[in-house]
Amino acid sequence: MSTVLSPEERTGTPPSAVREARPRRAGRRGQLVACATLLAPFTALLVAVFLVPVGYAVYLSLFSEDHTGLGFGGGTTVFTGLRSYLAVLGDPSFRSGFGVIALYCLIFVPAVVVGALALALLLDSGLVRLRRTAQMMLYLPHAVPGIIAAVIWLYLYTPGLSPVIRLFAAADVHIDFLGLHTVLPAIVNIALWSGLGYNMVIFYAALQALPREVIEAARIDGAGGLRTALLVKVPIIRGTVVMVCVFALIGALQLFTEPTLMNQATPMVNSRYAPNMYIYDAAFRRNNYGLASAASVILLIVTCALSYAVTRWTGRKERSPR
Amino acid sequence: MTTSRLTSRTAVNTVVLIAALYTLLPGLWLLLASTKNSDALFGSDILSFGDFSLGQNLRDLFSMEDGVYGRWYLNSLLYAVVGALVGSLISVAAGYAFDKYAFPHKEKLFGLVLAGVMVPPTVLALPLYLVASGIGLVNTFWAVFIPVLFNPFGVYLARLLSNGYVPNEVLEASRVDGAGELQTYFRVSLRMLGPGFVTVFLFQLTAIWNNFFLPMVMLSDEHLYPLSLGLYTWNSSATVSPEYYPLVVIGSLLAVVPLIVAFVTLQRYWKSGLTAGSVK
Amino acid sequence: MSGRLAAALIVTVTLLLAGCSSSDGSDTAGSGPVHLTFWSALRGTQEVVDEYNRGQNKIRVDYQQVPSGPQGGWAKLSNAARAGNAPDVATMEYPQLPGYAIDGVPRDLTDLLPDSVRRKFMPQALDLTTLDGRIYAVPVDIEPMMFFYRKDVLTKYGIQVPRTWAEFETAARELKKADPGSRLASFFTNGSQHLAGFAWQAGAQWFRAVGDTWHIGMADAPTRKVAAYWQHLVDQDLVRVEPVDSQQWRAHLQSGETVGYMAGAWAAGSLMKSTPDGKGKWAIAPLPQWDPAKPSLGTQGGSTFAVTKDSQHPEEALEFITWMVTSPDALRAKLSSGVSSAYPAVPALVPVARKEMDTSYYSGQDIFGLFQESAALISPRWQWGPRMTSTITSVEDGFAKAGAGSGTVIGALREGERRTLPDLKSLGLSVTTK
Repeated sequence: MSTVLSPEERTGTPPSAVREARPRRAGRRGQLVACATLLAPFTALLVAVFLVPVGYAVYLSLFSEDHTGLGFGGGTTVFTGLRSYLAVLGDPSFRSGFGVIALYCLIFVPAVVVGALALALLLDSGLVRLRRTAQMMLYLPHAVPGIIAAVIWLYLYTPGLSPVIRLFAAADVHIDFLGLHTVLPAIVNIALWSGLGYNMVIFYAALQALPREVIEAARIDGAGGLRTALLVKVPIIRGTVVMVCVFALIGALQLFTEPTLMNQATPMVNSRYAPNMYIYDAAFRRNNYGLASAASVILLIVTCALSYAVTRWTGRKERSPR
Repeated sequence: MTTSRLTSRTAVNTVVLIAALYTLLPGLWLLLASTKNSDALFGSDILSFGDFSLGQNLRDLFSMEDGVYGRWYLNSLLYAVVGALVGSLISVAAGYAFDKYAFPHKEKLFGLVLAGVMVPPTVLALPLYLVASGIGLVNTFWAVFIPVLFNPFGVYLARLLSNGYVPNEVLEASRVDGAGELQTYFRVSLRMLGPGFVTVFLFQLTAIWNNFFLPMVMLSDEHLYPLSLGLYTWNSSATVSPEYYPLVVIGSLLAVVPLIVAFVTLQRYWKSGLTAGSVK
Repeated sequence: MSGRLAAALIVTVTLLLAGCSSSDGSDTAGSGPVHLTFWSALRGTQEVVDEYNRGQNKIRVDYQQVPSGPQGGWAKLSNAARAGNAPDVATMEYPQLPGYAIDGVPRDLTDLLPDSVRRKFMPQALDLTTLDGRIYAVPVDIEPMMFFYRKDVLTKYGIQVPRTWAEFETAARELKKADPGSRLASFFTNGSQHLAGFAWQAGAQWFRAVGDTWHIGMADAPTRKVAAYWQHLVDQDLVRVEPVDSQQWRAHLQSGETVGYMAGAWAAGSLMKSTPDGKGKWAIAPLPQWDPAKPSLGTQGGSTFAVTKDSQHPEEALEFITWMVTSPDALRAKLSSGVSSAYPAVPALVPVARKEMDTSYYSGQDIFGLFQESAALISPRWQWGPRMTSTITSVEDGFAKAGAGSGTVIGALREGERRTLPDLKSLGLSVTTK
């Protein structure tokens, strides 16, 4: 009896083999039905909101409107193959959008990951007074919707509205936050403000789950707080760090809200500043869905490729012997 | 030893204090600025309380354009609260199913879920618009509501949480007692998943409340706008008609309140859920 | 559970039906008047529509106000046309018309528009709505570019009103010397259409439809001359650099820091509204010329009405449009809603406009007489491009950077041309650059 039955079945179940055979078959079918029911709504959404649109985007990028000659009088929808893709890749505004986003990622992703990690380590060090209050305050920007965070910071960047600018002006320092070279850092700042607290909480939770023995061992070995943090704690939560990096990268590639708002406020941010803005502009202002769909597919491919690459690269490093 | 510990203590606290100030000051500015009218916003010092116009600003906020702001608020609540509720029910059910049951091609399907997490919603928004346009659903409540229900990350999270919160023994015991699978789910598992459900709910609530691109693409009727889109529209008008500036400020202040309330009241749940989720 | 389910279903269906009510097309034939839908962002349109509905029973027009083009109006019309529910009558500005025609939005009116009506329009106006020999829209107004200036300021400093561009530069310099805080005009960082108007005046042809191919050249000799001129003014700090229609621009006009403004004739009315304190101080002069012996002019602004391909009642729609652009009652109704100095594309209506306008703001100057003289100078050698929405965006991005010291005006135009090509290529159009 004890060798045949699994631990679960041992707890208070009548040991009749015959009785188990019949409910198990009916139970198995019942399980499948239940499973299907539970999965059905999500799968329906998956198809309707994910697979169908992606498929349609690919279709539109390959079949678009063709206007021959001067084009007056409307066009016909034909298979245009890679024409839209070539047009997108050859479009200087799309390429410059990618240049901007590459720079943005290079600045933003390390800043938010390092910043959040540093704050989490500091809070975990046990040296902070009013830790819970500090945590709550640092997390609050996450509760502020992106567009509103952008509006608040935009007003703080706007001369006439901003007490910061007024303060600097009193000291005879004139900073233009919306100038040609300052506008990208200004956008990074908004995203950083919004994202630090959220990522900090993730890191903190991971740090709290660390086995205390390891920390103690390090302390006994004579490592100070800083060394413990950097050389002991961080490597153990490596997985979380990678995950945060990947999500920060994916989010950064989707930059749209902040520059769209800034576009109204300063000519230094044009309407195709980031790839998502290019897509929106192509679809809704230039009424060119082939271009917009091709650009969407390209952005999608880049996003997936990058997140795959980052995961693989850090995974490979982990597997290499120390 | 003690002096170095003191200096490191001071250093650490200073850094955290600076960080806290950095995160708080914009919010503080928002609070103070919402008490000023249009002239005071541009003219006076932020800390002066000379023209205290909070009441007037509130009145203007809700009366501008026939009270469309109130409409936007309601829309946001509908999209976000109801959407997150329904969406997290769907996601949790799916995550649970992935965790507890075995079926053919299960991991392949889960792979699709993960792909859904990787795919940013902005890439989907345009094709969704075109599909909706083909069906004739553009510029309706459903055009925004249905897509925001889709939360693959919630499914991923729910699978982890179900694994952590609902032990298989409970299922087995319930089966032996003769309860149907769905009965077990609703009566037993869901209850055990409590904090996990709240975590998924909060994630989705934040995501929907924040959502800007999808409504911007789908909606052209102002009365269907959520708060994010409405305030953006008013901000565009502000460059031409400056009387919108104080309205955007106080409108933003009020827009921040629900999420903060949600987070503060549901703190315990999401913190524990987060812990369970990130431990691998 | 089933009761709740039923209720949920009912709510769902109701919401679906309520939400799905997009603007309805026209009525099917039979009893009752023909219903037309009409979209416009132009001020005063409601009054015009009301007047029309009052005056006859055959046609009922439902007017819907839409945002102006750059604020979403263009997208709204394009999307509606794509979905198959565009209004019967839509407003299109001249620069966007070819783009819409390529998308198949406006209907070809060549066979529906009788000669008797065609003769009523200024030839240059009808030229701009005739593409490849077919008429795609009906002109409403045509806006010759004028020079609005603060007469009191120029008189005070003894500066002559410039008649040529050379004189303009001199006058700008004199003004700056007399009052270092003042400028004679602005270079608009979002003024691609203003610059187009200047290039038009100089004889440029950015877009030409030759046979079956679009020839694009936004850096031809006349354009280079104009771009170099404005670059010089910007470099020498002789003009303000700012976006038109912005807070700062309006503030400068009100304070007198900017004493001149170049735009289409419609701006006369707009100026009266935005700077009411300027009453009695402003005057209007013809735009400076390159060569007074061979005067020429471009336009800035102006709209047309089109009948969409989706319309089920094209004849009625055209009837309504014809009434709107040729009837004195229509013009009077529009002007009743507020001041407008839009110069009608139908010369016969000019006396009506002249009579309704109170020119005390301009010290009683006969501005419509001036507009009439200027309009006669509008050069017929101009064609708007196949995708102006795209070209405008790209050019203005470049202008903004040039204004901030990074790049040049001509560079912005060249870049604008380069950035429009991908759009055109992806549409399969036959395009060549000179």
